[in-house]
Amino acid sequence: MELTSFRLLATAGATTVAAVVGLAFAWRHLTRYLLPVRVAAILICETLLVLTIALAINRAGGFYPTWSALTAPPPPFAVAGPAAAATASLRPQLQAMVPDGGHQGLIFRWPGAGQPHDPDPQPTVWLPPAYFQQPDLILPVAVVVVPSAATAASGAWNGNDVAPLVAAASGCVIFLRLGHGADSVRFASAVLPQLARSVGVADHAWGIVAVGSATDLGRSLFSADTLRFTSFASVAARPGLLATAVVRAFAGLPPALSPPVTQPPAPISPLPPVPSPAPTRADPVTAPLATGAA
Amino acid sequence: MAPDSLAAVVLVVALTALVATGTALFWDSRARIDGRHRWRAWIVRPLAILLCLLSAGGAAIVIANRELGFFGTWPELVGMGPGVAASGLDTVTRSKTGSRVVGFTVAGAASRLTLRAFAYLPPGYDDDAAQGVRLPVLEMLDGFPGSPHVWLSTLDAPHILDNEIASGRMAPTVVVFPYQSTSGARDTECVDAVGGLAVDTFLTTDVPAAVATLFSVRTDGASWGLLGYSTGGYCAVNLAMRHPGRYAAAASLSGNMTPYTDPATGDLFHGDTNIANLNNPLWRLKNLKPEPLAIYLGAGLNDHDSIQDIQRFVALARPPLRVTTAAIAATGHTMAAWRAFQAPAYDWMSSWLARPAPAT
Repeated sequence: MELTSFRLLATAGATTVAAVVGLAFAWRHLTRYLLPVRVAAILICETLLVLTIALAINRAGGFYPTWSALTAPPPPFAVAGPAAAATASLRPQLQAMVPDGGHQGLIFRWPGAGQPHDPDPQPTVWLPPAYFQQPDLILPVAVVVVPSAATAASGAWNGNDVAPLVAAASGCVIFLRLGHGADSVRFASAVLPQLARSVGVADHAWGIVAVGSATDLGRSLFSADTLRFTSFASVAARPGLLATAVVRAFAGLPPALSPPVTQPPAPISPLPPVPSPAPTRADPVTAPLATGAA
Repeated sequence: MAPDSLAAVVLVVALTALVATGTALFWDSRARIDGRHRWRAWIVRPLAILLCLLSAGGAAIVIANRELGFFGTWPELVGMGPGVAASGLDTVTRSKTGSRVVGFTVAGAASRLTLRAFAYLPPGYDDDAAQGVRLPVLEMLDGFPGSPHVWLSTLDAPHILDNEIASGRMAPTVVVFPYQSTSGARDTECVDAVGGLAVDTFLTTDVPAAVATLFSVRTDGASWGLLGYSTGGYCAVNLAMRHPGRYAAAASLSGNMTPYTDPATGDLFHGDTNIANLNNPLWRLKNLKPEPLAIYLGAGLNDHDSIQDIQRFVALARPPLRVTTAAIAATGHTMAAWRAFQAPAYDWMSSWLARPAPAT
C-alpha cells in the first residue's frame, strides 16, 4: 500500500475508530489488575489517532510520497563533478609549454580558431600562474574586445606583449580582435565556448571589456550569448586604461573555485501546455531554455 | 529546555503517559466513592478525554518538531513571533573552524517590520588580513512551517558552509538567515501582502540595509544571492525575479513556482490579480521580459509537485535567464532532500556571485 494512498489512510482511520470503540466497550471490564491494560489501550488509541492525522497531512502535503522516502537512508551527499581541467584537451600541451611550473603564467595564441577573412582570427589567451599551480581550479574569464585594426597606441595590446595588461588579472583573459559586422560576432560566439572547453576554464559568468570603437561589437557579443556573459564594461581607447579595466572586470566576476559538487540534472520531460493564471499579453514563448547540470 | 531537545520529548511523552494513567485510574473513582455526585463524572470524564487528546497532540507536535527541527523556541512552536533582541550582535555559535553565527535585529524602516535574523560569518572574517575585504552575501529562506532554526540546526548549514569554503568550492560569503513572518503560524510567502505584512520589502530592502551596516559585505547586486527550500524556494525565485538588480542568482530546493493560498497564508492579495500575477514566477516568465538572472532548481524525483513546477519553469524560461536543474532519488519533500542539495547549491551559487573584493 502506498504511503499516500487513500486505502492506507482509510485503513488507519478505521483501525483507530475500531480501537476507540473496542476500548469503550471493554472499559468497564478493565478494572483492578487489568488497569494497566486500560492505560496501554488509551496510549494505543492516542498513537493510532496521531498516526492517522499524520497520514492525512502527509497525503495532503506529499512530504513522504513513498515508503522509501520515509525509511531509506539519506542519499549520497553529492557526486563530485568532473573537473573542468580533466576534460580540457589543450591542457597537456599548455603544461608542456611552461617547464618552469608556470610561475609566470602563459600567453599563447589559441590554435583552434580560424576565419579566412579576418586578418587576426586567433584569440590571444592569458593564463595566470594559478592555472598551472592548481590544475583543479576553475578560472573566471574576461574577454577583451578591440577592433581588428586597433594598435597599442589606440588602447589595444602590442602584439603578443599583453603581460603589462594582465599582471594583476586573477583569471583567464581572452584578447579578441573583431572585425565589423555580424559575421565576426557570430564567429566569436562560436569560438569562445570551444576555447573554454579546450583550455578548461569557467563556462559561465564571463565578463567583457570593450575598447574604444569596439563597444558596439562588445555589446553584440554580450547579447549573442547572454547565458555566458554576465558583465560588460567599455573603456576609452587610450593607452594605460585597459589594465585597470581588466582588473575591475574581474572584481565583478566569481573567483577561481575548485570544481563544485553536483547532483544530476533533473529529467525535463515534455509537459502539456501550462494553464495561464491570467490573461496573457506578451509574445508566445517559442524556445525553451537550454538546461545543464549543476 | 529547547522544544527540539530530547528532554522536551521525554517530558511530553511522560506527561502523556501520566494523563492516560490518571484517566484510567480515576475514571470510576468519584462515582464509586459518592453516588450522589455522579454528575461530576460528566464534567471530569470529558475533561480527561480532552486532556488525553491534548497531551497526545502536544507530544506529536514536539516529536515532529524534534524530527524536522522547525522551531527552536517555545513561543515559535506555539505560533507566536520570534521576538526581538537588543541592538547589536550577539554570538549564537562559534565553530572550531573559526566561523561563527551571530544574531541581530532588523528594524525595517521600509517595511515597518522588526524581526530577528542570524548571520554566518565565514572563517577568517575577523582576521586582520580580512579587514577591508567586502564579501558576497547569500540570503537563506526557510519553508513553512519553519524558521532560521531549520537551516542553522536541523540542516546544519554552518557546518556545510565551512566545508565548502574550506575546500575552495565556495568563496567566503556572509550568509544571512532572516525570519520571514511575525508568527510561526502565518505563511507569508515572502510577498508584500495587500493590506498585510510587507515581507518582500523587509527581505529585499531592510535586511540588505541592515546587513550592509553591520557586516563587511559588498552591496552590488552581482554579489547577492537568495536560496530557499520549499516555500523558501518559491520566495527565493520570486524575490530574485522581482528585484533582478538586487540579486544575481537564486536557488530553489523543492520550491513551488506559484504562491500558495491556504488557511496558513490567508488571502495575500485580496483579489488584486495584478499583484498576484507579479508574484507568480511562471506568469512573469510568460508575460514579462526575462531578466539576466541565474536560477538553480532542485527537487527529489518523487516530489512530483516540485518536479512538475521545475518542468513548467524550464519550458517557459528564455535567455538571459539561465536555469540549472538538478534531481536526487527518493527523498520526497523532506529535510533529506534539502540536506543533500545544500553543498551543490552553495557551490553553484558561488560560481555566479561576484567575489570578495577590497573596499573602494
